[in-house]
Amino acid sequence: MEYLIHLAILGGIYAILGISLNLIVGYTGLLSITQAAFYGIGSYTTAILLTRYDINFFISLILGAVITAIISLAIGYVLSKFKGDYYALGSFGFNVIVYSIFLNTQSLTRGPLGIPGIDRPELFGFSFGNNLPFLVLVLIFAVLVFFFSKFITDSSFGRVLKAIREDEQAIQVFGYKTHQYKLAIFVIGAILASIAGSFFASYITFIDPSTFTINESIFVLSIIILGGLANLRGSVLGAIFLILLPEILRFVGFPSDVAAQMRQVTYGLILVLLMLYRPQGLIGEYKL
Amino acid sequence: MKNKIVWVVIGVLVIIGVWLLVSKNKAPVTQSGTIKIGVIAPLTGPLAEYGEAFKNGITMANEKSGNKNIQWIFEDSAYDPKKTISAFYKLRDSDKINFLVNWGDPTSFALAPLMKNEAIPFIAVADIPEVANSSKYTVRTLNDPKFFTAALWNYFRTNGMKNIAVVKVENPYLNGMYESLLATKQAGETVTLVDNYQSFSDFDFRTSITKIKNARSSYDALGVFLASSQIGQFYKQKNDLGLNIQTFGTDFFESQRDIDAAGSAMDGAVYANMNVSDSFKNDYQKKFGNVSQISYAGNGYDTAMILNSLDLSSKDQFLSGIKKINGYSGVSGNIKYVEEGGDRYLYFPVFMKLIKGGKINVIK
Repeated sequence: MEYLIHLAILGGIYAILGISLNLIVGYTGLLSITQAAFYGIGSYTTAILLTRYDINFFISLILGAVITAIISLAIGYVLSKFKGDYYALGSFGFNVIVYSIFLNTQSLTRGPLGIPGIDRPELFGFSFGNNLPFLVLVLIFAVLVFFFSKFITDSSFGRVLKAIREDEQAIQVFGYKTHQYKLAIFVIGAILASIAGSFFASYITFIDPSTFTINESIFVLSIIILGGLANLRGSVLGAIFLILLPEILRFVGFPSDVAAQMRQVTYGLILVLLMLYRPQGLIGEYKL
Repeated sequence: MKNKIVWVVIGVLVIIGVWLLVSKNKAPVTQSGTIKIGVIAPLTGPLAEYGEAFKNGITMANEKSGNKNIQWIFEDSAYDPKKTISAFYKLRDSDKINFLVNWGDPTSFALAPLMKNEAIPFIAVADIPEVANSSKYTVRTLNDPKFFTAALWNYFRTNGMKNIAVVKVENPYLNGMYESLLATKQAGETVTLVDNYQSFSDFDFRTSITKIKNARSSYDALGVFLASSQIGQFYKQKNDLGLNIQTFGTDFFESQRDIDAAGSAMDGAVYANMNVSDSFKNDYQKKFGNVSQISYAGNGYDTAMILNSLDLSSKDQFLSGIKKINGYSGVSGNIKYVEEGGDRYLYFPVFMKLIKGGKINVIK
């Protein structure tokens, strides 16, 4: 049972991450490959505040979101001037910079040694130390993030985002300052990723820079492409699918000598087949 | 219609998945009284060479002992803390393991806090003492870097080398080695970090090599604290640029793939590591066709044989048994249990090794 709870917690955290990126990539059409950086900033802020200053998790979560907002505002300002491939390259560069900062500011982040012993959340004396209450907490936040994102995408603001995705120049003709919209959604997506990061740090209780590489950004991108771009339920479905699939493969009776390698090959094969037959994702409405 | 089909497929997949995950009979059937030991190691990913060697060592020990009362169950961590925790919950909830063995520093760090409330004794193949602090039933089976750097300094001092240059890649173990090298230098000795690479995927070292070549007279030896695949490239480039200097490294040097890639350029390089007996090496080579990271195969073999020799009926029996290990004669040499503060570990003897003609030889 604990195993399923663990997977559900990971599913919840990655669903938040998927939704945060879907707002940027799926709804606005900005190919951002930097979500792991904001996820990492949230994780490290929580880890440092909890282990060094004994600050409450929820305060650290808010502070992480504030720090991420400030950083993403600066980065997003630069990125909002780019389009298409240039946007992807710029965001890629930012992920590399943040990873290097995690790795090299050893007095703050302990570099490759990582930060162990991160506490679980506590609220009014109630501890979320056990996995079940932690799962409930993650699910509450995931639901809040889902409905907050739905509110955004259903609003007139969300319609402008979709219009930017379809034809940025056309909407500029109507007087919309598109770079402001792009910046706003980038910052919102970054803050949501930071929230997921805070939960991740507190749940795993150990973080190191290797978790926040470009590979993680690509993994989150895979979640939304597989689940479906411009579809919030798709992000949730993609997260559940990509978290569950490798675990299900642990139970497939491959010969023990090559089991790990066979699982990896099978995992890749399933993703290739899915993209062949569902290029728009499981329930997506937009193709990159 | 198409959407309905997709939802049906997803539904079926989720049902099958949940059924597989909660199914209690997926592990091979064992007789009652069997001790199940879960082993988590990087069987894929950048350190798969180590994980495979460690697993192979355990497999050999299992065949040698013929002990049917112990069942080993292997899971892949890919050297990722998140995947390691997933593997642990699978082993604990589905396979019902009695003992856990994990290979790797970051992954052991992630598992250590979980062991506080667990009834499962934990054997961590990790070199960071903090790992053992969380539970009294946690024992490490990898030497602290200080033992390896002590052997290196001993070699340098014997050969009159005082000024050491190091080229390093960011990694907890390699950082630990570098820090330990710095911490144990004596008056008149220097350790200079020439370059610090960020990733295992850096393969162009020509700038570092040129820097060292230009300041050649300032250094007596060069530490190549790089990872698998990088080492072979480094030595090829060092040879191409004509840098001639005594080099040394870490257990990453014990990769036949890198030695073969470097060719004669690696001749004369030294490093400190655990070792295995010649007979074990021969048997291993016959069975698996290579000797890459064989010291970790020896570590896995001896760990498994020690567990075979202990009373594992309870965690307290295990703990009292392992504490009595003192001079256990394994394929890695004489192994002993050490307790220092909150740290508990099995000490494996350290040897200096020399690479010559594509082969690794122990320096007597």
